[in-house]
Amino acid sequence: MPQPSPDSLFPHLRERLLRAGIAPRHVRRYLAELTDHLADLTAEEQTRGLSLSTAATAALARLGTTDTLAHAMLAQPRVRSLSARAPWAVFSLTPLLLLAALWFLSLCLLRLGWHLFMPSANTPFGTEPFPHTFLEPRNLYFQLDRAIFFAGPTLVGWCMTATAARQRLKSLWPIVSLALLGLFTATAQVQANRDAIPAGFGHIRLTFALSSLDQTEYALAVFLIAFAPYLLWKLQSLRNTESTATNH
Amino acid sequence: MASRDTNPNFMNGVPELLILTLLQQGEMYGYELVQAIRDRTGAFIALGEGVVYPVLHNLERDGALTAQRKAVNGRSRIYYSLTPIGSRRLSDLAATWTNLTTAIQFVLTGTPDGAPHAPTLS
Repeated sequence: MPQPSPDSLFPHLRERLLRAGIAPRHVRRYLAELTDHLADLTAEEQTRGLSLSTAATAALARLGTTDTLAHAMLAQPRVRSLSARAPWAVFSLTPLLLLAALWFLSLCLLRLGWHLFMPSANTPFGTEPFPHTFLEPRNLYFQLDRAIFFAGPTLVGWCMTATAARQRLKSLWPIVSLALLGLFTATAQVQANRDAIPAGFGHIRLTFALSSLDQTEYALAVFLIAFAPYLLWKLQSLRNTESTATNH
Repeated sequence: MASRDTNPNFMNGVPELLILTLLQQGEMYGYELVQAIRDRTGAFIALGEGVVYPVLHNLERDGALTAQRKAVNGRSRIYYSLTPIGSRRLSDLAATWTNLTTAIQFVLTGTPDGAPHAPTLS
């Protein structure tokens, strides 16, 4: 007989531990170990001549109640996740650090592409004729670089909402992350030109300034695109909770 | 789930001590550990069997244990084994426990080794 999944055996314990801030990897492993232990206990009870259903009931009793199992885990101070202990740090600093890393990568690629494909151009932005084919290596290279720069905030936003969903955190925290990401993304401006430095090596500068209404709309768009999957998950969770309550 | 009588009073630190002692003899997984605790204590120490895992996770986070997943007889099991940090922790805990039991014994019987009072002549 196939072994039931840990989530199906201990759904209430899982939710309780996640909401209390236990790191998801510890919750996952705990439930897997309890499931294995339960299977061993059931087999042991069956060897004493009990039927499967009676053995399963006796095994559950030996394993401990949901309260006992939850309290045992909550009493361990080292298994709480960082996002539960310091959400303000995780959801305000991490997205900005990740975004900075992605943009640094993108600007390095821009600098390299400028050097490789347009060595004589004063700036890599819009000074060369449009490529004849989309698949031209130079075009592919710069489009990839643009994709990293412009899709980066959304990817980081999805990471932050996934982190919040995994830990069952309040919606406030992913909203803080996405608001910061939207703000920085909408106000970021990249400037690149060779004239700025006399030696002609080229200069790339990233500045932040809010100068038009379009930027606000862009910030809102980034926020909504990154928030949409989280919102759908949240609605689905609410629906599941309501249907579980109705069934009970 | 139905409940089962356990003896939570006086149990602070006991599961940790028992687990470290048993793992000193070789790696084990959770079910094996609980069986071993029951066998070695004559079933006197009755834990809710699932509560052993949070203690194992915490000891692992402290570096006292290492965990390794192994496939045995078609089942995936997580085996725990003692580290040098765990050995030192076991020595400390065992010494503390010995001192504690000696002190309690002294309070209960009036002598450190548990021997009854020698009658005094008046």
